[in-house]
Amino acid sequence: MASEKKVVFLRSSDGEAFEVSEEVISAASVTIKGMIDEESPSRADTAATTTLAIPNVTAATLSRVLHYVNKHFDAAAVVGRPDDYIFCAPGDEHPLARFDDDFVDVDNDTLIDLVHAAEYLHIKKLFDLTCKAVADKLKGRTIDQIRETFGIVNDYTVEEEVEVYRENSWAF
Amino acid sequence: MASSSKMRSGLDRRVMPALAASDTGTLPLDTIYEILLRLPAKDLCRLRIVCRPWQALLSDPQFIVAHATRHPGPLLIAAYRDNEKNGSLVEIMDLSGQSLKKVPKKYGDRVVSMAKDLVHVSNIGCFNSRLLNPATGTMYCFSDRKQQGASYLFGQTASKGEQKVLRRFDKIGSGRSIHELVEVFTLNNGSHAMWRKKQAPPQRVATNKWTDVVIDGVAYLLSWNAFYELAFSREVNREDMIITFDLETEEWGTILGPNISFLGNAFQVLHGVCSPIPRSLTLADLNGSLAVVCLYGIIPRMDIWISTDIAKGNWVNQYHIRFEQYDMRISYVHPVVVLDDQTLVIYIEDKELLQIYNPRSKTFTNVVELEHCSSICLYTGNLLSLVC
Repeated sequence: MASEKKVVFLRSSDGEAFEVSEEVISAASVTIKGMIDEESPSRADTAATTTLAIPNVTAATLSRVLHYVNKHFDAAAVVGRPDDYIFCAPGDEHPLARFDDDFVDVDNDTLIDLVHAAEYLHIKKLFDLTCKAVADKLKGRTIDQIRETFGIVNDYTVEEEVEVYRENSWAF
Repeated sequence: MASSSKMRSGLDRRVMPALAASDTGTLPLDTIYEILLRLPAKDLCRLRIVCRPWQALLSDPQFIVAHATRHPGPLLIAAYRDNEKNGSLVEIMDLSGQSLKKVPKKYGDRVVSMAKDLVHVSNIGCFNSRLLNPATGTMYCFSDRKQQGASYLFGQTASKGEQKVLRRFDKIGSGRSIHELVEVFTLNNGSHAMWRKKQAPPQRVATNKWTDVVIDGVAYLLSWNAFYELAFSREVNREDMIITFDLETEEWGTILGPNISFLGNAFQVLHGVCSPIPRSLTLADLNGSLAVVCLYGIIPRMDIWISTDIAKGNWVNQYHIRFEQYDMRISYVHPVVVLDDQTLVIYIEDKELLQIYNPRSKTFTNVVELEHCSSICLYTGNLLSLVC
């Protein structure tokens, strides 16, 4: 049948391959849709499956990203498995709000890897979600903790730092 | 999300050289940009101290505009009365009641009025008054030898954007006649700026702090008659209810007010004493529209009339609110802003309480108590564009 689901394989930077529905990943990732569109003339209608190299994303991160993508972009999964909704409280504005909350409830490094991956793969919803999660984490942290989180070296002189502090002291 | 070309070009720009073995922990400045856009202004001002690139990013005009677009939630500014315990002159806050910025009070300072992003401050110790921008700390100063009981208004002219201050005061002439004197001061007019005498308004105007407002370069002032006759009449005269002063042409005019009438008595007998039932009539700027606010009744009710066509004198009674929870003890409620979901932010002056009223469910939600607050309005300035 012509409507048979096509799949593609994504190979992470550390060489692990992940299978995903072409339709789903194309809907999610602008970058991968671009890659698939470039590939397709050579593929024609052959049965051969495509493997795409994702050199910037590790297997650990890629598997998380695909978990997210399958939840958010696979319409069949959403419609076909209504039991997912059991986990939604009546007040939840979005049925996947809880999934999203849990998804970004990870350590800093994992979260920042997800931001990287979402940006590279150009998955807007995931990028928004992870950026917001990083932003929320920044709120409760001291300046030193923030520098540590992002691996930033304080490049102010003592005088400059005092001056910037003075100018913005109302916010501390 | 930033455009993809912008994101690509930024991929190599690291906040610091990637010394770590993996990329973990370091993000390109373009991604940092996206993350920081999602934080409130107050947090961002604090984060300027992280490092120079962040400070540059967070002070960049392009970033500031992008941030304002993403965080359109209204900010409010409250002024405080002279008080030992509270050292703030004004305070900028968001609708969760979180204080975003406090401007400390200098000895003798008093807030005269506020509008948009400016605060009119006078000081008992000097002859200068000032219009202060609380975000940037910049100010216009103007000479203002104290005129007993003067009332002030300020605003920008519609076309040239000149900042003008209007001052009104009564002068008792021979034969005890009262003359209303009006003067205008144009700010940023160099050192030659001075008060210029203008014609008196066609009708006497009320001098309550909630009875005048400037919208789009035109000052609207409630007439004295409407303000005071309201207490005893069944009807308020629509004609000349509101006096206008165009800040550009500096000419007076009048407009028709809404059709306000009352059923029932103006008086009640309370503990054997006949006393008037409280009523008040005031003006407000509600999301850029002129509003007439009428509070009345033993169980206080508030009607808010919004002008739909100033020239034709068309008004709609947009809100009708009953304050059953307060009985007689409120004398003034000021509507501050209508939110996107049509709920209304109101300030109950007698209770020093900021609330959100939902017209569909007819319920009130407390936002914050503002002890010693003397005035409150919508704040339209940008907190990030500031150094002070």
